Amino acid sequence: MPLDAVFADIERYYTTKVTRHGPTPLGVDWASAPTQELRFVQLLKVCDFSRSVSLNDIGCGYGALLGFLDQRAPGKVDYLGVDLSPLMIAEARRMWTGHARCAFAIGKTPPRVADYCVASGIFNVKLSQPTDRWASLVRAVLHDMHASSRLGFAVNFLTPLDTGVAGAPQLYRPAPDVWRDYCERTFGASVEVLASYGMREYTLLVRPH
Amino acid sequence: MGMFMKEHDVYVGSLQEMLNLRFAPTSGSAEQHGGLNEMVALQKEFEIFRAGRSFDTSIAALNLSGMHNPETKSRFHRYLNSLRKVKSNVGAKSGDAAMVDAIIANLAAKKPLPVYFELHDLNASKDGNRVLITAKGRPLFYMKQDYMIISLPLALDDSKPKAKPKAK
Repeated sequence: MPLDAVFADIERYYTTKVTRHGPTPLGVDWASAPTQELRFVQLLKVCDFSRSVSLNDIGCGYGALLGFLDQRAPGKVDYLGVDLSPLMIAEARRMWTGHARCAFAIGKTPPRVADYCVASGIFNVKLSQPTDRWASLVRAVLHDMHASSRLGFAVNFLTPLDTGVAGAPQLYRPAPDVWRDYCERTFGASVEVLASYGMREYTLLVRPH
Repeated sequence: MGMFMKEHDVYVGSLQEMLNLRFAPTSGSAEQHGGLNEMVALQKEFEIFRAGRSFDTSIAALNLSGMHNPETKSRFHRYLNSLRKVKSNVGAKSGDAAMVDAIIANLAAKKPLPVYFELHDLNASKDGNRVLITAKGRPLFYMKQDYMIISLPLALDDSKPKAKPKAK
């Protein structure tokens, strides 16, 4: 199956979610707003908000991160949200109509280079894809994020389960060193792993040397 | 919850379970996190439980009032809201304030405990209509695990069903 077909599956999955739950945390597969925002806290550690920045949000959903940025770094971010689901983007545009310095685009790659790229939870649900095909998708997305960020990017992954524990087969849980090493080696980047924020996941902050 | 939940009483167990899973012990190795570790981190970052903010409001933010049935959700919130007028076993605090204060202190503790929510029959004793807080206990005989226990008062809904309109 080519990667485009995998992206099409993902699009259908999230469109179904937002159709069922609307523009809410459940509509983007998160349990609640606080858990969603605790992930944002970690991802945004890649950003230096001491000055205005531009930010691409990959898999932006209905743009929840924009609302969070309004609280954490008001007026400092030129925001672009990108999502595969046209319905999700329609909800985002409706929700954020009139918001300054924000735009939304349908697709898998951002149409601009920004200071930073972040992606929350987009690698977690691999649906029925075999792990090696999903890893190809992760690689492709990381390359896109690297190419479209000047100062760094951040992504998160689910923590692997303990040996012998069977998890949901549709979830992707790579060990932290897999993609940390990949980013260091391939992009010549410095990678920080954040893992002690109470959740069953970790965040990679990838910065150019 | 009886008189609040009425025909939605069948969901009481699942609502109780949602609370208990949210505050459950962290399972697996230390690196796994989740459960109580996640609640501690959420509280530290966002102060979800705060003095003066009702338990009901914090529970709503955590999406712990049922996901699919708006009527169940609304009845559960009415029940939780009613705990502001209920006494507790903690001095003069209301049931709501006692729960919120206990959870705040527990989540900020050096060794926070998971929280177990249980239910008791408010009519079983003359002072049964109170929220009961136990700082440390073993509510589950099959688990070697200390919990902070919060017991919520509940009664059978014994109101008479509405009379059917007489046939003309």
